[in-house]
Amino acid sequence: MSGYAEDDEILGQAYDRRLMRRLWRFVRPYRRTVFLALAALAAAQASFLALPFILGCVIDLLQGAFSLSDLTWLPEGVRAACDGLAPAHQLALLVTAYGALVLVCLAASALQSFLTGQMGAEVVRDVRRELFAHIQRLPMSTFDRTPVGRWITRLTNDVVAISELFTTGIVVAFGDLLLLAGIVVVLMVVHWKLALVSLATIPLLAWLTWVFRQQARAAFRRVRMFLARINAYLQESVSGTAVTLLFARQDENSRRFMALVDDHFGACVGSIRIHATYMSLVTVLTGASLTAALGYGGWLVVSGALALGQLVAFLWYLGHFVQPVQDLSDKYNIFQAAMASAERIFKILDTPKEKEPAAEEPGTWDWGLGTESGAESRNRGAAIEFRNVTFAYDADPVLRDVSFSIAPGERIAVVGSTGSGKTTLVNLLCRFYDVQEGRILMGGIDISRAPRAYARSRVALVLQEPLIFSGDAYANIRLGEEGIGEAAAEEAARRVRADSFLGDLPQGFRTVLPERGSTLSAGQRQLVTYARALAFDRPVLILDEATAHVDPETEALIQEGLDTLMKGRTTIIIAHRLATLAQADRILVMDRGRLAEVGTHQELIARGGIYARMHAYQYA
Amino acid sequence: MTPYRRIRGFLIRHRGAYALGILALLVTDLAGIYATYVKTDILARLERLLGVGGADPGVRWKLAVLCAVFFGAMLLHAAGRYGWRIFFLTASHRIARDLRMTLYGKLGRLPLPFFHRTPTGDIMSRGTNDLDAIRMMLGPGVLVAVDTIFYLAVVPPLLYVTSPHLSLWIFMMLPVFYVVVRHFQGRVESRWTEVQAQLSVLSVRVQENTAGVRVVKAYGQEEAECRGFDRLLDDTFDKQVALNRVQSVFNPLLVALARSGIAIILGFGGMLFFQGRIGFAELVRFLFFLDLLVWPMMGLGHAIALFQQGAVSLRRLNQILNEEEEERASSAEYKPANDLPALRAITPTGAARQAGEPRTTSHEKNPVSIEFRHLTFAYPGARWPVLSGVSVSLPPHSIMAFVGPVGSGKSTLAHLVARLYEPPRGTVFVGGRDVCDIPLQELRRAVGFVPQNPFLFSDTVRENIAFFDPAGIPHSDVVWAAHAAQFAEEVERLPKQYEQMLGERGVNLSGGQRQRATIARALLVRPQILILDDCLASVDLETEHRILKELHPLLKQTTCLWVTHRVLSTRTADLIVVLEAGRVVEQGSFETLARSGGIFAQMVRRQMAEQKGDAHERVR
Ligand SMILES: Nc1ncnc2c1ncn2[C@@H]1O[C@H](COP(=O)(O)OP(=O)(O)OP(=O)(O)O)[C@@H](O)[C@H]1O
Ligand SMILES: Nc1ncnc2c1ncn2[C@@H]1O[C@H](COP(=O)(O)OP(=O)(O)OP(=O)(O)O)[C@@H](O)[C@H]1O
Ligand SMILES: [Mg+2]
Ligand SMILES: [Mg+2]
Repeated sequence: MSGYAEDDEILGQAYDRRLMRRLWRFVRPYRRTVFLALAALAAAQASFLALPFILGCVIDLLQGAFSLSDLTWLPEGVRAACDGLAPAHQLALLVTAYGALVLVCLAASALQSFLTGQMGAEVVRDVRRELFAHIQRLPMSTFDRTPVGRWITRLTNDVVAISELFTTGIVVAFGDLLLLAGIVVVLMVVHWKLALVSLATIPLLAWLTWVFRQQARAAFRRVRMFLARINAYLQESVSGTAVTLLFARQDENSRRFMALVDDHFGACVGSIRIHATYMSLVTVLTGASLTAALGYGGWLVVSGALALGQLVAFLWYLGHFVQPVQDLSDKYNIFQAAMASAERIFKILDTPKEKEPAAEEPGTWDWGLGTESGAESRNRGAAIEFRNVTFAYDADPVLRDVSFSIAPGERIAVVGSTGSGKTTLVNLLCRFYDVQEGRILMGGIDISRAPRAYARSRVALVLQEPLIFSGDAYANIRLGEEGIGEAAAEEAARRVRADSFLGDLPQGFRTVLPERGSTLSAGQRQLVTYARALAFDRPVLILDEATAHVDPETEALIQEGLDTLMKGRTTIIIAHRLATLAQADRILVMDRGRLAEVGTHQELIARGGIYARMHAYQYA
Repeated sequence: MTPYRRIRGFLIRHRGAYALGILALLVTDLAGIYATYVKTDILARLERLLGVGGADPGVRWKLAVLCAVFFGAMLLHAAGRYGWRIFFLTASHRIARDLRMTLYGKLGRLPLPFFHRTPTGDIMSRGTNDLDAIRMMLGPGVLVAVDTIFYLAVVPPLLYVTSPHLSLWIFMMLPVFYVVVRHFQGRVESRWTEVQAQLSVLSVRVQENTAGVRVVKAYGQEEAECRGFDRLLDDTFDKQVALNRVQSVFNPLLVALARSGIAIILGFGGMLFFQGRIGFAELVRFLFFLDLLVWPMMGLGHAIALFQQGAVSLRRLNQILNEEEEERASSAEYKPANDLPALRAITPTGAARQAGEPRTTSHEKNPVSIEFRHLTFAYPGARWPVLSGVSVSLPPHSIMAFVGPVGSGKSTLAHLVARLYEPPRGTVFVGGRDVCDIPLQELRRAVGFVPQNPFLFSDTVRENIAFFDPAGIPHSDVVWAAHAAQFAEEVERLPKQYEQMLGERGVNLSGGQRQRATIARALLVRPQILILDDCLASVDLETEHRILKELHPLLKQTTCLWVTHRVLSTRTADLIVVLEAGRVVEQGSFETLARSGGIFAQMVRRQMAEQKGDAHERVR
């Protein structure tokens, strides 16, 4: 179930630095928090680093090789005070310092963890907000090609992967790096030769990490890709459940899902393997470091060039060098996963929004509703003209050289065999898509040169496929429009005879309808969307087979009630049942993407063309 | 009931991998501990040597050998590390895969009402985010837990052996640990539950928004949608932060506890050393061993969080997995009725099929009757029944048209025949058998159903038409069905013809094309019962006429339940049933009903009259 859906292919080379720079934009507003967290982290690491030092001191103290007064960095007075102190008291002092540092470390790392968590949540919120807002502005063709499940994956899983980068990733990694640097410095201070010998593995480690990076990224891309496919399939299966049940296709679907899940599993195992290999090689390298330190350090101790306590402290530090390195390689994994997700999120953000006229252009024409009186602007928007419009969704034109004009307040019917391009006319009028050739004028203004809102704010549309959202009837009729009151919504429902069945629901108009209104009958769904179009008081009303699933009786009743309301509004009715068309002033007959005939009912019957033939079929 | 019951089976199935993982973990940890032991051993020897002086060359050799042993232990450590990563993590992904398939399989067995009350996004969220949390529990969670338990089991005895006296101090800290852990456990759980529920809400929102994008755009609701989404994001943020607040303290606290143990030992151990009651080597070893506990403590916090989260997610997944399945009666109460014809017609052999000629030829057909007996049916939660006392009988080879106002219960009737909703016992009979007694698989494979809402999958045209049995239906049959549904001509005009990919829900087809695709899809079931639920509503009259003419002989080979709003087209039906508000109000042939002066006659008049242009005149 993918393919028309443009494949979620493995993206090409991405540049981490560029991705990071773009991600940084999301972190920037919280840089204060970041710096605070880093400061807390630095405090935690510093206190943590001091621990083995004290430990070494204690051990040397026990050996009689150390006294607090040896610490040259202590103030002179303190050293003097310590000078005569009994070892037991010195021990007490050192242990107290140790305990205090443990507490500092606790407070600092809790603070750091809280701050990064907070920031991570904030970044997640911001990324989601921006992503969602961007998605709202994407062109319709993108939605045609993107499975709904993929949007969900992007906005949930992928964003979470990025947030992990911020919560457990970057800051902690930075802390680890800090720690490593600190340890290197301490090691160098303790004994630089020993340090050089035991850290000789670092270049090797760097090379290993570089190799790992490429492998891991490729693996994660595969994981993300298959995950998105799984989600898309799952979402489609769930929305198509009725069909699957009816055709007893569960087994076959399961087989297909299994194939996807297996692919995903394979990709996951691949990434595990890469990571495991890397991790164990890192362990070998750190083992080599420790061994070198032990061997060379031991030799130094034997030769009397190094105190035993120093070696103990050295080993302790080096031991704690190992952990952050392994930790870092874990973090690197998170980093790679996040980058794979970031690529995908930025791919959406990089998809151009629906084109709007450039910022300086609005001055060149005037569509401002504010400058005209309501009626004037209404009339202006209500005149529609198609001039030599040619349009193709893909390669083959669906509309060819279509020209017609509709006067304000006119009632136009569009008929034509199925697939002849009627809905496409509407799609263009609402600027779901932009024409390739020719122009569409509304109120004398070329809509493709005006903001999209220009056309859309003048049109109330009943789609061929009724779309109901989960929510009550009010929410479905007025959508998010605060200007439409409950009374207006009820009035609109009454006009299309939707009030009776909506009122009969368990909580009446307040009954929450499920997704897609699946507990309403098809005709009822159409009536609700019809009511929606009426509630939005717009100069142009477009009914794309709005009553296809409605019985003739109800339709006639609606029609009678609508006559007054429709006065002065331009109405475009697409329908097949000729009864529905009968009230039109003029009828446009579409045939395979061309406008074949135009005229009144009588004219077209008299003409004996396509329309007359269709009409005859009713009595066949 | 504990949520873990569900995964016990999976754990048992993958016990091999887990056993190997634990083994590898043991190797890793033992090697690590042994390495620590060797390290402290070297240090102890060095201490003894200090007095002697390091001139003896034998000492160096000994040192070298010990270092080699140490490095060997580290290699083993690394190998074990590779092992447990692979075993544990792969096993967890395997279980995740199994769970995913279990979920998918379950979704295929759930009844339609479940999907009407559960938003798709919610199911998606459980199938992705919660599944992921469960995997984290089963992989990293189990891993860290085993590791921690191992250290907690091995290190204390080691400590005890090293120095019973010192270890007493450590054991006294255990109750503190217990209290801390218990305290946090509960809090993490409740907050994580909220976080996961919120993810569901987000997914639902995204799903609805992107699936309803046409309405959002047409009515310019982008801003309102963004505002609504922002509110959700703020809620999500609050919940995430609440969780973060708890989690950020927990880990540092555990580590601080472990470290304060070291402080205690430093103090008391030092005192004991000064008193000569403990040796130097003993103390150092004790400290190094104690240090081994610090990281497992971090792990413990992590593992507890993972398990809490996994349990919550498992509970959420279980809510779906414990839902009651569709097939209840059949397996338990189904008694094969030998005297009745089997529902499934004999499948023709491959040889009987010839290109261009469908497998459905008359002698293979075995249509069965449909009968509704005093059928009264109410949807769950509805105030009154949608159908009351419906008694209609459809003999084999008959075409029965159902007409009636919007919401009169026509689709409901159709759904009950296919048992998409469960009818009351003894009310709906197919082939003389109560549908409740017919296994679903058998029933649905005998019914060709064209739903009112033409749902197509994002797959090729071919796959969609051959949906019933994509592997078994030859291409020639697909072409035949497309021809019969008057769809072939348009398919052949598509760029890739039958291999053309469709978008989700078939967005790149026109409404009428989608309907005809679903008709073709149902024909290939070679059904004994064909249900056409208002499936020509978006098809123009001419095409409808052709389809009906073409299908008529085919329909006559089945028992056809035909719902329509185009009353004039029902001339071809054998019998017409008029439903109103769930009751049969008229029943008879077209001629009798049209002449009777009842509701049907009025409907016919309405359509006839208006078409002749009278209504047209009236309106003008
Ligand atoms: N989003 C799309 N992408 C690609 N092709 C499309 C898309 N929508 C429609 N088409 C194609 O454009 C042609 C015209 O479709 P349109 O929906 O305008 O027909 P229509 O006249 O409304 O037919 P109907 O009466 O069946 O609704 C059809 O052949 C259809 O396959
Ligand atoms: N799943 C459901 N749960 C609850 N009520 C439902 C459900 N499906 C339909 N209904 C209600 O049952 C009544 C009959 O619906 P049904 O779909 O059978 O009507 P219909 O005759 O097919 O109408 P239409 O001509 O509009 O297709 C309607 O009032 C509808 O709101
Ligand atoms: Mg259309
Ligand atoms: Mg219906």
